[in-house]
Amino acid sequence: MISFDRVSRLYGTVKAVDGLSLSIVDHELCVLVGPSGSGKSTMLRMINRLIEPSEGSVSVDGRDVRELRPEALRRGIGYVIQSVGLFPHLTVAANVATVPELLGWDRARTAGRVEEMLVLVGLKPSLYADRYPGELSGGEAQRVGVARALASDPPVVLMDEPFSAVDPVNRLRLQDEFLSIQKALKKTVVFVTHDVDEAIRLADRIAVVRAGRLVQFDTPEGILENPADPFVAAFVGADRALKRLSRFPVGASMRSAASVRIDDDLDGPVVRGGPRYVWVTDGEGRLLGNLDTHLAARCGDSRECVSTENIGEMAIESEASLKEALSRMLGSSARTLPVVDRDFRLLGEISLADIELSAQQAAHSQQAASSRRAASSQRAASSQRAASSRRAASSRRED
Amino acid sequence: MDARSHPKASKPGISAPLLAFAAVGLAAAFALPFVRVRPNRIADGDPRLLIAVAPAAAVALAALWAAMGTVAALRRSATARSRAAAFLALCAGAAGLLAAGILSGRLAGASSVARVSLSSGFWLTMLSAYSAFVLATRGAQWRSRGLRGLLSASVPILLAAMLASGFLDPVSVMRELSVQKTVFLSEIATHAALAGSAVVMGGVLGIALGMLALRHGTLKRVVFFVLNIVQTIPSLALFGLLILPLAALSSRFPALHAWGISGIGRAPALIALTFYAMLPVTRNTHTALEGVPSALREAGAGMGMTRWQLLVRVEAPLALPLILAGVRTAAVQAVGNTVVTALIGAGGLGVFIFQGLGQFASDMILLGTLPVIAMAIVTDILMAGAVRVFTPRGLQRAEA
Repeated sequence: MISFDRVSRLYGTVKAVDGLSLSIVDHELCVLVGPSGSGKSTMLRMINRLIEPSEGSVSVDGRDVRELRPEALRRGIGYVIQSVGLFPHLTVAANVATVPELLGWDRARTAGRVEEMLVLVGLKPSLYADRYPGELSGGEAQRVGVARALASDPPVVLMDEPFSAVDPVNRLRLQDEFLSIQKALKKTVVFVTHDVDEAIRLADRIAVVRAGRLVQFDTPEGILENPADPFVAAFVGADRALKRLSRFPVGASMRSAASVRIDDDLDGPVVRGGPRYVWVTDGEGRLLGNLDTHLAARCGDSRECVSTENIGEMAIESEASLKEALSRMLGSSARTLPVVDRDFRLLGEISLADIELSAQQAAHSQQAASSRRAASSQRAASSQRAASSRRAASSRRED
Repeated sequence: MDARSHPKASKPGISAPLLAFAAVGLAAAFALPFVRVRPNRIADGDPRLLIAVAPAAAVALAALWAAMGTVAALRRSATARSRAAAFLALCAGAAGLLAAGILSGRLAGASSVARVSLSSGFWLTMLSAYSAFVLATRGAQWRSRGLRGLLSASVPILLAAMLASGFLDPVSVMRELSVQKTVFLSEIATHAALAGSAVVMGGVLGIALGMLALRHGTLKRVVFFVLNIVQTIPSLALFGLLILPLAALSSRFPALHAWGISGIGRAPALIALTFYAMLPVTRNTHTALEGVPSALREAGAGMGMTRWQLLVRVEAPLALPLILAGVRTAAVQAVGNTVVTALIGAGGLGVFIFQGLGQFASDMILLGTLPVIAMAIVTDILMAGAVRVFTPRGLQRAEA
């Protein structure tokens, strides 16, 4: 667990960080989000002592970070910066090997680990290991940056606006990839960004920061549902309900879909009597198009009535968000989309009604959760009051 | 496909510099005295045009330069032009040397005191040939590295072969050399040692100061203030300034005197040369380290590198090419500056130049000057190679 205990950082008379107390739970991805200059990067750098607090203390796993030499501390914490900072004179493999080498791993272990890391971030080792950073695209460089940060398998990873210099399309892809890596590795990640959408997509918990102070610390759902104050409300934007949809994958809300195989099923009478519209797949289950069974009854060969129009644009991957599904529906006339996996195999379908239902359910469970939280924070507050009155009483006795 | 992506490389414009070198070469072959025939070592000579004493050689040289002019004007292919120009330049240089050797032997005849010295026509021929060769062998249009290497290597080989064969012995400079051989060898060694130690000391001090200057703002201002002032002091004046304090030190402390430190001689020479060598190295070291992107420092520090590891693993490899470029400047300058140290008794090739000036013996002046030029060129080429070798591969590709 990473915790900040009443931490402040002064630059002259300006408080870049002002009385921050925050606990980041192990294996969670915590996003520090706030406008530029709000002090979020300063907070991040106090964890690995690139910046020392003026007041208060930061601890990792219950140990004050000042107990360790800064170098030893930092070798145990992964670090990714915005400009990536790959060493241009070293190959991709040597860059990834940086921390293992600093830790004195033997060569075979380091080499094995480097290969493993490149595979993890989706870069073929045989293709990328011997390249130089100057030969990489922005997205590839950022992947190497992530691989480098994870190379020594640190329990904690700090990421300072890692994807903000990448174009929007690649940023989405990098976010998805990073999420699936995080799902597998379960690191404790502290992630700084000024992009609310990015925060909502990635975070298990979001800390909204303004002018060096923590304004709200909650799950993305909690922040979208109950912004603590007008600043947070304005910061997350008026489209909060839509943003919330970006938290849910299509796969969790889809239903099974009626489908037929083009080879065998369309010969017989199976099609009749079922739903009016069915999806059509090939022998391996890959989506080909759809079929209006009423129309098919009048076709000589049902296969000729299969509509393949726009099927590529209609199909949505199960990892995509409900927000994306809704956007597709609004963009096309379709109210039901086929859901496919990465190989375009049909998994199910999702309709506008399914999205509505998921949104309502989420809102209900969120309300229940937030009322529970409100109750517990009230309890905490009252016990704190009790504690402070005890302290006050004891200090009076000392007088 | 190659041709379409590099239209300029394949269809070059008329090469004005090559054309100019060809014109100078032609003028040198026809209009300027190629040799001077002198009755003895210090007498003034009788200028002779090449066309008058060796018409065949003059015609051959003229043909080579005319070919060079044609190559410069043709706008076919940059690769073909470079190859042809380099080859023609090499031929012109060799022809000039051949003509000099043959003419000297023939014109001096049997006389042991008469000398045939090379004159402006010869020197301009060599200068044009050398310039054209350098121009032609530079540039990216050479597709085959091996061919360029072969051509470049043939220059010193050709020169060494001509010198070793004794073919050039009748030329007056070579006769001067044969008279002064022992002194020449010792002075050239002194010259190399003086310049070499100055560059090593100036390099080490310069790199150290450049690194320190990066950390301490005040030190930086002081260092660059002093070095810039030193650079503006003429070398002779700097020697003069060093004579008094060193002489005083030497007479005060006999131990220093025993070490060979005194007001004149090698000590002040070495001190002054070291100072001159320091400025380019210090400045480049400082600029190079300052130019290491701060993101790399942050990434390195953030991953747990100590200051020393950051220096060795990140800053030094990235800064080394520029630092070595500073050493290259310092080394070439040192070879030239060392000439002047002969005036305060430190020895070196300057000895011949200043004695020659005093005696009005042009051959002796050349005996000092030619090796200095050769040494400077060789130093420059070697250091340029070192810069290439120490430029990390990842950076070379980024620049290409």
